[in-house]
Amino acid sequence: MSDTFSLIFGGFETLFTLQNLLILILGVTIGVIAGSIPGLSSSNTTAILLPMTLGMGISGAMVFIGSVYVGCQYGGSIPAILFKTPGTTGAGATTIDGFPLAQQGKATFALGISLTASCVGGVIAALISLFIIKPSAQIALKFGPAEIFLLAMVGIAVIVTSSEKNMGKGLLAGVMGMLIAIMSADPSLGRPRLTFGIIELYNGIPLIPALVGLFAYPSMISLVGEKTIARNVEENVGNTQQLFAGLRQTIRNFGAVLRSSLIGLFVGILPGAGIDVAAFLSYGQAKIFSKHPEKFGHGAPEGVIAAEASNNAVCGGALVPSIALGVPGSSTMAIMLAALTLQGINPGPQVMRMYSGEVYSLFVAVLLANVLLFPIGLLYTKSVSKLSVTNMGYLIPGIFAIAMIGCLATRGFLFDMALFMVFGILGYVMTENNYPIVPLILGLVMGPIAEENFVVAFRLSKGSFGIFFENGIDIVLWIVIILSLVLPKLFSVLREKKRAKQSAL
Amino acid sequence: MVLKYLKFVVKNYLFAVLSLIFAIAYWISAKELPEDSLTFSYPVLFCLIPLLIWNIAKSVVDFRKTLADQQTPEKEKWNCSLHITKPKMIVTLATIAYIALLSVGGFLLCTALYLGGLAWYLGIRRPIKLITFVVLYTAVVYAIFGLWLNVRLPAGILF
Repeated sequence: MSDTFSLIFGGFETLFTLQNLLILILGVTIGVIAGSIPGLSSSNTTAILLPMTLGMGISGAMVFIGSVYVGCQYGGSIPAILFKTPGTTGAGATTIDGFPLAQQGKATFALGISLTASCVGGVIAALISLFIIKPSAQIALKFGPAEIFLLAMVGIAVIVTSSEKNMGKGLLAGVMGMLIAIMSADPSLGRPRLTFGIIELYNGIPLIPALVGLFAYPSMISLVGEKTIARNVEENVGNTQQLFAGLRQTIRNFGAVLRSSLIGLFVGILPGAGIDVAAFLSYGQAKIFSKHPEKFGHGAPEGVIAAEASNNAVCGGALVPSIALGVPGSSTMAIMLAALTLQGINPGPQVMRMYSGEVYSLFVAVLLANVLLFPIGLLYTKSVSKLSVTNMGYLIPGIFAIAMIGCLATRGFLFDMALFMVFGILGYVMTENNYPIVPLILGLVMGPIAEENFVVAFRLSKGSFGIFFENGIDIVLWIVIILSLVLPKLFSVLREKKRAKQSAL
Repeated sequence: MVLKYLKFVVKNYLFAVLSLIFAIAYWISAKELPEDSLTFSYPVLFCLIPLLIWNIAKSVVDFRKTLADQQTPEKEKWNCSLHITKPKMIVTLATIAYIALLSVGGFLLCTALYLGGLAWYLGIRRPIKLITFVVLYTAVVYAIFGLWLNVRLPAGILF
């Protein structure tokens, strides 16, 4: 333990130079702005800025990428709340309750919640990850394809809970999401499946055009004819008091923040699981444990808290396998490893041994980036939140244009802009038919992860399903799946009994 | 009666119909693929069957409830327009035209026309505000994506 403390202090020492601190502030600022532009994910942004890291030294390069990563996760929630257009894939779950809050005239309040939850969730995860780098890397190694598949099934179970009132429609949307997601070349033989000969579909449906189309198009098109997004302006938009009201709301729900940040940390540690998986898992769990689950989807602050706390917590968790094992925990972490390679370092377990000062300075930087996020986010959010009362004549063409160019920026294919429209129209039909969109998105997110790992696990076990029940981790995951299916109904019955008792009294 | 049922389905279960068509197309195309390519696809398709049956059965049950409903006006019951109004149609068609013509007209021209045309249609009528919005927005988006991020924005065949 004293070893760990001395390594952490070494990290602080390495970080606290004028250059590294300035890089930290710059990184968070760029991350927040870039994340708030739909289509610019943290991996796009860090990939584009990678050449800038050449002159920064080992520590500076890692600090820069880590701080951009943190900034982007909060930045993505800004358009998610204001326009129902997630700026990053991790902000998809934030739109569900964030946008209804904006429509109620509480955009600044929602952004305050998002900012605080991001900061606190990120700080908790970064603090814990400082102490658990080595043991959690060992746990990550124990997660094979069968375990990752079961984790995806936990996400599928969340589909069921997210559409409690309309389970048949929700399940259909979720399974269709999975079927659409596996419209690609199959992972084992590379044979295209239902790609209609379109080469751009060979790697499957890209997530950003699908997410942005499904969320942004139906919500913006339904606002044609309205004057502004906020239907009832109950507050002075951009008011600092409303931002701090969001802060107080988040602190009151500290339990939800803690739970969500632990989920984000855990999912971040597992390579390949992704920020979007963490955000939706956390959202689903928040709904299960909430005293008022019926408010979710209609502007429940806990929904925003859960999504944002966990997506920032992933940043701390994703560092663990990337640095300790040389296995990137996310696409942004892959860019981090590329930055290390540019500095002449081969990523792998030896990095921890040979560059422990720089490694721990990275973890400390992510911790401080989450703290700095608050004042930087506060300044940016104050001005940006006024967009909720801007004339729709400017907003609708502006949002559609930037969303489409963002889709184009993801892979450089005009086809992705067409996908935005296809998913947009699909989302509109689903909304009009009362089919929930969230399960479809969960299916799109979980489908490729579930398929890839299912196929690998099935091959490893030579066709036996026993591989999904082999060890303690599998059993724990099965218990979580069953509890995720059973608990919402159980809690609902208990709440009804309690209400009946109270009304009888 | 059949027409009423179809209208009811379009209003409430069109997504289920689209899912059924998609699943059938997937099933047909899957017949040409080796089994190894479909290790995961087949279980997903099999999960889809009971869900589609449930949705179809629910549509029939809900249809009969709607038929029996005396309180809702007839026009509202069988209105399958999906709330597609003229302004929504115009915004959608303009967006589709923007995507289709982007490679022809190029980013600058098409984006300026799209922003200006839609903003004018949605009520921004003052020329100075309109022109300022179009020029500034196009310039900022071009600066961020085209210059800073080096995204290859279509130049078009006209220039």
